[in-house]
Amino acid sequence: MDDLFAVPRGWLESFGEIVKFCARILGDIASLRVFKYFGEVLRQAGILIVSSTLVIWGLVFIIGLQCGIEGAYFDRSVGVPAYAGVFAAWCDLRELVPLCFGYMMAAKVGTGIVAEIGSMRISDEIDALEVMGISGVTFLCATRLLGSMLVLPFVYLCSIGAGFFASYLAVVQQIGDVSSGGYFLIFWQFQNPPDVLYSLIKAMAMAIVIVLVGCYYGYTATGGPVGVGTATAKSMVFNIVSVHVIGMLGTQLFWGANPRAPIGG
Amino acid sequence: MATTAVDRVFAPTRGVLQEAGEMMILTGRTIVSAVKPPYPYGAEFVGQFMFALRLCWFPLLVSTVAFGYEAPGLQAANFLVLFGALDRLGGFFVLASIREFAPFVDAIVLAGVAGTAITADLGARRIREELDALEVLGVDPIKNLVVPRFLALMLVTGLFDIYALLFGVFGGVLATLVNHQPLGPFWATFFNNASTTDLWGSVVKTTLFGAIIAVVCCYKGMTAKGGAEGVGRAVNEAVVIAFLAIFAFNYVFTQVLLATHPALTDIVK
Amino acid sequence: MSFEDSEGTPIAGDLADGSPAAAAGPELTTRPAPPPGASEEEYANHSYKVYPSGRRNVVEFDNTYKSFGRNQILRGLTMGIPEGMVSMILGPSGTGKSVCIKHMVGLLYPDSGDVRVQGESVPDMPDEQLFEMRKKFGLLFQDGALFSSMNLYDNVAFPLRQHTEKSEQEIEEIVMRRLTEVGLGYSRDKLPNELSGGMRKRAGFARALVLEPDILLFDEPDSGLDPVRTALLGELILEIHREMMEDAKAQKKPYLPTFAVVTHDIMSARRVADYINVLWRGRIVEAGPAQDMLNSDNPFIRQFLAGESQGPLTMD
Repeated sequence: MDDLFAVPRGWLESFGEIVKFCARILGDIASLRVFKYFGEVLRQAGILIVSSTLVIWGLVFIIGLQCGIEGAYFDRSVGVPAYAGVFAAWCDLRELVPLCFGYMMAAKVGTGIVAEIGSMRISDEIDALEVMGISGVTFLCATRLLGSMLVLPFVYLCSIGAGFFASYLAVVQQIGDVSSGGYFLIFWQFQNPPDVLYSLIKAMAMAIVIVLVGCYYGYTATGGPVGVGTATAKSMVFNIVSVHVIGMLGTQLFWGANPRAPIGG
Repeated sequence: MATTAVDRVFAPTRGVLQEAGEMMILTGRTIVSAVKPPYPYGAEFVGQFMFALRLCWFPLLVSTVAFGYEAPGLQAANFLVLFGALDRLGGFFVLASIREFAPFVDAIVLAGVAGTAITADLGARRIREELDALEVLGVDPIKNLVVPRFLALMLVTGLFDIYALLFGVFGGVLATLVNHQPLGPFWATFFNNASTTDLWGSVVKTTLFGAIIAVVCCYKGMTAKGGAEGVGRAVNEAVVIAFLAIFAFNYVFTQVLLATHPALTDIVK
Repeated sequence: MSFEDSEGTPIAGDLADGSPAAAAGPELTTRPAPPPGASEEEYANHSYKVYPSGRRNVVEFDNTYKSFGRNQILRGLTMGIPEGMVSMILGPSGTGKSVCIKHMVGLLYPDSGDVRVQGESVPDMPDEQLFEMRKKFGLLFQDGALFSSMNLYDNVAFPLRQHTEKSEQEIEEIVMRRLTEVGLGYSRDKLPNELSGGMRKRAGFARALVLEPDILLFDEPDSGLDPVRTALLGELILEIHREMMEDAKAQKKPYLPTFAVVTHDIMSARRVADYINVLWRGRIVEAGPAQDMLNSDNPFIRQFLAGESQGPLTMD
């Protein structure tokens, strides 16, 4: 039985350390210390755009298609095929796009950060930085977090677009129970700007947690290349769970008591 | 110059295709090797099975309850409340949870937790030259390492689907309670709509997800490169490819299923 | 144990009034007690003798203890690195030599005891001061620790770009001079993974040199090198030290350049060292200028410096 609780116990044990570590990174950003290395911030932002955006959009696109066909068939079966737009507006925007964004962020960016910083740790590069009088936390972690914060809102808004486009393709072009105009009428009725903002907040909360967790696991990696691999795997476990929990808390907070729909209520 | 431009466009594509091809070959060899005697992988199979079970039960528990409460629970309840039809949430849960979300969350968690652990483990053996040592000793790494992982992950993912389903529905129950509705109608529409076909379909789908995860993660682990970043990079790539493959496969599966059996989505009162 | 180092007296205060006790070296009046949990017998070969170097110490360890879990690494280490010399910290594998170096630059903190650099206690420093203090150090890591995302030139230029306001042209001048010094002027555009182990070490050396540190530390510079390359690297170290000494004297710097090399390679120690600290079981067995140490009558030192299989040091 002891083994069964290895995962949650591990988290509890390292939780205090993670919080302390994250506070240091956030402190570096809040105190503007990170701006000493603004060039590095921009470089990290650029790397994020070049290497990760397409994959994220691709995944969201697939889930948009999926959501579209599910929604179209479901609405046909309950006799309101014209309302397929609701699925795109709600399912995409409020739930699945943030979640899939979180999944891909964790998989591509989160584990990437662990692998990168972890390998720097074990090949003494972080110690070398420190000996040169440069704080590793500021130079490696805070710059990455700030870089992501600069870029990700735009990446995320584009992925909402990709999800919407995919749902439109699936519902209107592929299944075709509803006309383009009819689809958009419902689609736009069932969302408003605050929804987009809430969705963005949800996704950004996930992204920040993912980057911080990635930095923590990378920065504390030990035990050679094998240790880096293990740390990468562990960060993924933590991130998957936090993505789901943040998604749930966000939904409860933003839409739990108030469906924000144009009809009913 | 023309050739270099062409190269620049096609070289990455060729790399991707080559990897996909190699994964196909690994799948084929794994299946053949699993079927052909001898069968020395029993102990390793049990070990891997228990390993995945131990590692995944908790993350999966949290994830499915959160997901079930969040997406199909709260939001669908929001939607159904508009039409005064919250009692159909149970029916919706059959549609959403059994067919889509439970398999989906199950696969994501298994890939993220067990898959990454497998890649890290095999990658470690690759760079410690344990895999080479096995081959020198005349032991086939595919039969002794990949096959048990492949089978164990298929079985675990299939079984965890039911587990995910239970806790996903539990999330739906929570959502119903939060909306101050009695649970009776929820269960009534749930059981009216649930069919063993649904369950079987769901389990078969997740078993195939398990196979995808196992092949991708084993492949990436066994081809991990040396150097400080090698294993970490392998895990990184494995989980990205596994996610994309799961999503793509799921899309095709749903597409075919719904196009051929549109009546599946009818909600019976 | 207390000790002061004023005006270049030997570091240990417990020494017999520092009288130059001829060739035998200074004798101890009171032996320090063995660390907790160890018997006197395990430390029988520790004579704790320190032959005078005639220089003040820039780095001092004062009764430092450090353990990782149940693994005790430093067990009451008391050691000095004299100024302006090439010092060796010698010891069998796994005796905490690299841990020593990490204590000097504040990458690790002692469990108890003190580490002082130029008279200031490292464990007590606040972060800001620590980062300033570290700029006095150059550290050559075992595998060079070059940043794998940058080419050789950018690696060496990195500290200059981060810490100085020099123009790109001045930076290029300095970087190329250093790269040429270590014999890598022709491969400035290569990435670290395209270099051999020896080249990575030399590149790390160049990077450690660009800020003209007062104290240069070398973590096993000979690990993974063939004997010829090791000898060449040793020569390079000596040559650069000589050159830096001349510069420092010409510029009248407050501190002369000090090199400390951690190694278990006796051959390079014989060739390169001015001063030798021999470390075993987390304490110094004996320390002193190279000539005194090579003539020491301590059986452990004799065995170790001669690299023989017969003697107090065994496989365990």
